[in-house]
Amino acid sequence: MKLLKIAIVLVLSSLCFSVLNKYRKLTLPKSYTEVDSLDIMLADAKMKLPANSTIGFRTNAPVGRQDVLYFKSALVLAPIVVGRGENDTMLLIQDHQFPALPLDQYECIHNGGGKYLNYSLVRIKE
Amino acid sequence: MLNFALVAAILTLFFGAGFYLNKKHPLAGCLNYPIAFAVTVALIGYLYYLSLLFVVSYDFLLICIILIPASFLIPSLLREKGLAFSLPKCRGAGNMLILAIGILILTLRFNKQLHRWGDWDAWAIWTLHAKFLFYPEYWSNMFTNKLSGSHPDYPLMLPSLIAFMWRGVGFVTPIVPMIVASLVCVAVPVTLFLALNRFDRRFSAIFSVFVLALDAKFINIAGSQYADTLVAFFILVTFVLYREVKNGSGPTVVFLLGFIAGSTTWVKNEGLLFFLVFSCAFIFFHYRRPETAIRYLAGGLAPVLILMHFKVAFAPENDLINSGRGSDILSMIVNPARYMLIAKHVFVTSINYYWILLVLLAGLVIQRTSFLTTLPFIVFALMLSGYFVIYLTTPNDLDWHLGASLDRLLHHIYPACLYLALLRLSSNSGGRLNMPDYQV
Repeated sequence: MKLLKIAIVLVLSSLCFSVLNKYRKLTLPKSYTEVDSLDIMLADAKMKLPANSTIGFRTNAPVGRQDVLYFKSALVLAPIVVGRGENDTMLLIQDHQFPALPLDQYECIHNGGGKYLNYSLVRIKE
Repeated sequence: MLNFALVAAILTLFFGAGFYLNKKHPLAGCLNYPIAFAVTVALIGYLYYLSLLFVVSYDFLLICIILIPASFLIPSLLREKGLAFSLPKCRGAGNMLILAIGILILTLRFNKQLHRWGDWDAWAIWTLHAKFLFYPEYWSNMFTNKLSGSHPDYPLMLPSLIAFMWRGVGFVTPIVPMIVASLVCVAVPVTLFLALNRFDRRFSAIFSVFVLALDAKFINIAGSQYADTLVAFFILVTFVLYREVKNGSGPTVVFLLGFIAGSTTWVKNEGLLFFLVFSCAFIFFHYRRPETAIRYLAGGLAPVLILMHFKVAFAPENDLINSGRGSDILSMIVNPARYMLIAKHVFVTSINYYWILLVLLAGLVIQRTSFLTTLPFIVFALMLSGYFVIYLTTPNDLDWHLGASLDRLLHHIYPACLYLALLRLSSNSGGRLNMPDYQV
């Protein structure tokens, strides 16, 4: 009986160790995903926008990737509402690999970028 | 400081619910704790949403969550002079060791699946909604058609749970959804094990834990950080409580059955279908005992009222219901290709991921166990019929819709089916396919 109890404690200890070790690894920068890199990239944009604002979203990424970037940006910027398509204020995310979106019709409020993506917070010109 | 208050609130609620259940239904023993976990999750989900709705401060919410169960616990502790009064003994340390080994295997496999922010629906729907709920001044920003791809009409139990913990931690971190997913993933096999062990089906209990611990699909869906495993857990607990009610437990358990069944509606829209079907079947089976039916309905009343308020006051239109396809429905219904496609997906998904249920079902047929007129079978049959109708009339591309969701819909009923099939298979003492009884 005593041995069984020791065995249970050992199993539960290894369970706790494996869980804590996993969470420790997941907090390291090498475990970061695209949401985290967007969070870092858009940190300044978040500061420029009021929390109850609604902005539009456009990207030059191909169709399959547009949804990915849209939802990840929406998660990063919430509670700001990021809607698809045009709005007075827009978030434009540009992937370096693809032809850039024309910015003639916009007035830039802020921009920044990372290794693969850059962004512009813009307002439609009057 | 708020971190400690958060942990204290969760633990007080959990142990308060556990001790209360032990007092009201001592025969269930350790099984009361998974049920207490379900009650804790549901209550946090509701209370956090209500605190946002009624603009109650987070600190005050935590104080209420700590004080209300504590006001029940402390007098009990003083009366019983010690903690030993209601920590039930689980039968056999050997059983517990096997359960712990099963959970260790499950956790090691689960950890391999786990990554920050989860899979698509986790960051596009559940965590996104939680992020809105994290901001008490702006949480209702979410209810706009501009976010329609994120389904803001989905119920809020999982987002509320995540936001409640984020508020306690003080910042948004992907660790919280991962912890919630881990706890729910572990809660399913633990509940299965204890529910089967409660009726001395020890072999079945151990078998069920190892089936889930080795089931790559179960772990994959649980690790995705979606709300599907939470629905599966609530459906499982509903049937566990239903078995307790059938076993002659008191009125508290009937009330709790209504509350837990009703709470599936607050997890996912599919939970609403389950609650409707289960409630109709439960009332039909208990129409000669109106007091039982009334207690059940009383338990389900609060969850349903909260959901109805949410759907009426906040939730935008559901894309499946309000897609404006009225004239197309007839052509969808009479198109045999759609039936064939659904049948093909059901066949392939069942064979690939849920074959164990087919084997158990075959066992029941071989054993000539009569299960066709039982409440669980009727509930599952009606639920699957409901899913079939939804697929048949979906405005989305049918092949895509089936591929994207059928495995998760079957995941909702998988643990409950496993529980009921194993209970049935191992309970027929006169049968021809009796499971061996594991002895410690």
